[in-house]
Amino acid sequence: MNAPVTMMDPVEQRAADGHPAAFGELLRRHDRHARAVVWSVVRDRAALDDVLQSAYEKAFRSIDSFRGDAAFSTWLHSICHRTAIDHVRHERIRRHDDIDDLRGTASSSSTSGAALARVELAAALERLDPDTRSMLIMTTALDMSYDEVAEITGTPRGTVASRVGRARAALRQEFER
Amino acid sequence: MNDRPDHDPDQPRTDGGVDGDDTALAGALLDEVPSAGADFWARVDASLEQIADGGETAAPVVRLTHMNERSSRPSPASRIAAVAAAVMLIGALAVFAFNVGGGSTSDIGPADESGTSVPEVSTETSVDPDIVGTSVVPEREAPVLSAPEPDPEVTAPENPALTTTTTEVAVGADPVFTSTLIDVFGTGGPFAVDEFDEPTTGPNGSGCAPGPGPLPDGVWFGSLRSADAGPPFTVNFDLMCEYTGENAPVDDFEFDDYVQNDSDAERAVPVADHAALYLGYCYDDSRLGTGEINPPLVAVDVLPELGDEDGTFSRVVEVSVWLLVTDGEIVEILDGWYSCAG
Repeated sequence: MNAPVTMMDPVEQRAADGHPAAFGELLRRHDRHARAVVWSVVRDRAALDDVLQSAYEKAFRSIDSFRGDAAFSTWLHSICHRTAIDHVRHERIRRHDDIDDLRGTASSSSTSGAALARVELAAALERLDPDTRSMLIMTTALDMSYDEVAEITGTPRGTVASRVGRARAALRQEFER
Repeated sequence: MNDRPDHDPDQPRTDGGVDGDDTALAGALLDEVPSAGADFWARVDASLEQIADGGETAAPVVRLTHMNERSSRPSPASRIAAVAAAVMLIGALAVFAFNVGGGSTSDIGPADESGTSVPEVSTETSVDPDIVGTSVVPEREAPVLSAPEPDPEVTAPENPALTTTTTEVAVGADPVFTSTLIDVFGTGGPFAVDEFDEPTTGPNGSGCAPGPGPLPDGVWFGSLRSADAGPPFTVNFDLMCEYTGENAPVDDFEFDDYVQNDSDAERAVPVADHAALYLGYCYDDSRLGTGEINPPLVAVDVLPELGDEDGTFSRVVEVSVWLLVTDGEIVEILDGWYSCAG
């Protein structure tokens, strides 16, 4: 696993050389955002950790392709996003039972308004297609630029911008309702 | 989060990222991300160690075949010659059809990247409202419209917007064309890959037609579940119904198509002796920023070695295929893919 590397910090360098501990450290640094990327697509608590682990394993196997010419986070997020999309592609028949159950539970108990808002937000997110949802979360929650998201998702920048704009407006309405 | 130097906080963001108005939304979005399970990092660390210690270091690559080894595949030169012959044949047929039938040559597809003419699915609309499902049936003798009789017990869900169609595939009359189809489609190798145009005019597969029983001749979508080396070599196939665009029975669906699997029943479908079945690709996560499907990969595994001892495909998450069935046997995987995870 010797990759030509440039512009890497020492941990990235060791990770690129195939050291699992260094790679694990990098993963821990980026886990919160990587987890959000996968979650934005998968939306399945039972599958989240497995998909994320699969993505991390793939990333480590293909560490040779990380050459430091892109940020490690962008490289990792791209793998996470693709793994998540791949997972969803094979789970195409979407089940909305979970969110319906969640909504029922929230409305039938003395749940706070904030909790209900979270449930409605989750429901609104659920209605977005996975690609748009992930674009929205990467830009709105993870503060990535359209260019970064375009690179991660393999989608033209203009497409990212328009889809995020529409989704953001729709979600704002739901959230502020 | 709103600290980019090029961003005027009084102006809407045009580069993505978080506007002031979105701060609450951003927080809510992050808050709803579940945290890692208790043993998550232990599992990840263990798997990284295993990979570093010489465990699996590359995503599995799958080839499905039961007789034609790569070395027995036609040489590039012979493949080029065969493709050229097929092109000439198609051209001759096109001219013939144009001159005799007074029609157009629109059945002949556009040139592919290598300049080779490839067949393109063309469509005509049928007025028979009783036909709820359609298979794509390449005929060897002449282009023929064909649709299996729908089983009254297995019908597509009601969909007022569903366009009832019959799909025609323009195929040359000479069997040579079929025998070179893999080569035509697989410009990077002897693989059937993503040049195959999925039918776009209606439901295709189970749930729409053909109902229980042997798989009729045609092109069918579904998943390969397992294989039996036989003889006869057989794959167990779960037919599914794929809708595209406005044909889908729901408005909101993911990606470009909507797949409905009304029944998990598997059909044992024999594979023709002369067939070599290739799965073209998995999704290559190492390609950044493109989102493209990987070109055909070098194949390393041969069935039944691909499967576990019981013949199941546990190494791959899902094996999705468009099968070409002729005379009751699978003669080709027109398009096939699987998850790189496995």
